Amino acid sequence: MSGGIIFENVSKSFRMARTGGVRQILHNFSLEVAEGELVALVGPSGIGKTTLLHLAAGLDRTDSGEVQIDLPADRCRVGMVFQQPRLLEWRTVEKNISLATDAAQVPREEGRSMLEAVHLGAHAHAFPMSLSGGERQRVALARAFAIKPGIVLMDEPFSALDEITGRRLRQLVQELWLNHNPSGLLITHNTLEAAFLADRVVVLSGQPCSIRKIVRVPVSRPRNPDDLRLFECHREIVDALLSSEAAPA
Amino acid sequence: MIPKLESRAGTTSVPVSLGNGRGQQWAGWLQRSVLPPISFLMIISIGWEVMARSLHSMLIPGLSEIALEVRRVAVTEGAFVQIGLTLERIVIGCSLAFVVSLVVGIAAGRSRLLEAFLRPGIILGLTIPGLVWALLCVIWFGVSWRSPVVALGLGVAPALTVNVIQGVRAVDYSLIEMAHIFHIRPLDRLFHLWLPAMAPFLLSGFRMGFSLAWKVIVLVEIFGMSSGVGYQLNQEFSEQNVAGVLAWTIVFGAVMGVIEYGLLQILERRITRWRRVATV
Repeated sequence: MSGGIIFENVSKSFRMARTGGVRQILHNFSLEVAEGELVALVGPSGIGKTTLLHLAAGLDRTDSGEVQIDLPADRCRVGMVFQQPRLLEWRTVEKNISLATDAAQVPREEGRSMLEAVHLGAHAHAFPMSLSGGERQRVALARAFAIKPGIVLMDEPFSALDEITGRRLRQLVQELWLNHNPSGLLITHNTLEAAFLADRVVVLSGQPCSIRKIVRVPVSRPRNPDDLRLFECHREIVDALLSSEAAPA
Repeated sequence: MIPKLESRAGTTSVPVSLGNGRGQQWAGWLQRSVLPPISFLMIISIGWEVMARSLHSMLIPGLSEIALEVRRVAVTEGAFVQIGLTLERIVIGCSLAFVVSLVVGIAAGRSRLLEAFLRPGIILGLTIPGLVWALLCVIWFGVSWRSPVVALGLGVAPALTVNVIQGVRAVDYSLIEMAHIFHIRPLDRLFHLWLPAMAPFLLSGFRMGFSLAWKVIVLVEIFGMSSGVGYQLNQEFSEQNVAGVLAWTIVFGAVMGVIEYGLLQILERRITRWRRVATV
């Protein structure tokens, strides 16, 4: 398997501000995300999913081990979609995106065409505050994909949205993935979402965090959210989560 | 005629919005922004006139006498040149203080260690009266443009720095993370993230600095300059002309009022225009 993102024997611990003790989140954790693959990370809250994402994004450093982006130089750009859109409220939608494209040295036209792709072309000159939650998250998606990323990281991107908007945005992510084919990590608590979007779903458990099970989704894109095979994967993921909960710590 | 609407319950209601929108906006603006300060000034003026008439003192001139002096000051050849000179010194001194405070404040806001290092200096700067800076600068630099500029810089910078530090601390950390992930360039971060996010703090700091600057510049001009509003005030003082002192104060206060209402508030509205868009 050629690597897009490689976690190799990664260890990470944090000092607890309240007690002063040390909590080990990751110990010799290894995972490979292949080029063009989307891997979903599911597991209980506080297990270390966001830590993994932050390590991949370069927001944090490992105590030991390595996180590598194993892609050609022109595909090494990382786009990220957060739980909240994290837009600069004082800049218009278009200018929010151009800030990222300028930094990535990608033509601004990419930003404009990406806005069209997420059906927000008419809102290019609007301020984020005038948009709905779903529209704001679509701007965040456009920003992440406008920089022509080799890696896209998504941290519970639809958890703050209502079900219908979330469903539409999942379809949109699927389309973007088909058109741009980056490698990626998705953190979600929605197991159906994980089954619908990901190529593999990694169920995490324990302290420090370890891989409980990997569920491969055997459905090619474009996927239909009502495909029964996705529901089977979903059941498999839920079973793994339940069994990890039942297992002694 | 106001159209009446039949509600479902059978009761009658009238539309809440009457008249044209623009007219209502003007009326609202007058009521909120113009009437309160005018009322305040009128009450102060009436109070002053009552005091002047009851005391019959040369030291408390009446409104008519002050108005005549204001007219004399306003039409005196060179009055606006003097005001212009004072304003020029304020702008240069405040700009110097602003640049220094911005650099120091951002650095101290991001580093607790640096802030702890600078804290005694900032507290000292906040507590030292403007008079001390005025005297020292006149002694050090004599009658030159450096006296007011440096005195203003030293007098205004500490208060501005405190505001910048608070502004830096108020910047949403999640936006800084976003900028890091997308590798936003340092200058773009400064101009498109940090400064706009800190704008409310910078504006209030600038306002405070501007009012402090007026107090410091007058002192410098009294002690060590041969021009400017402070120098004119000193001239009126040496002639024991209370109405003249008040007239110069009123004229310069009016100019500062124009700057506050005509410039800073427009700037503030422009910087924060994104807040006034409809929220969905």
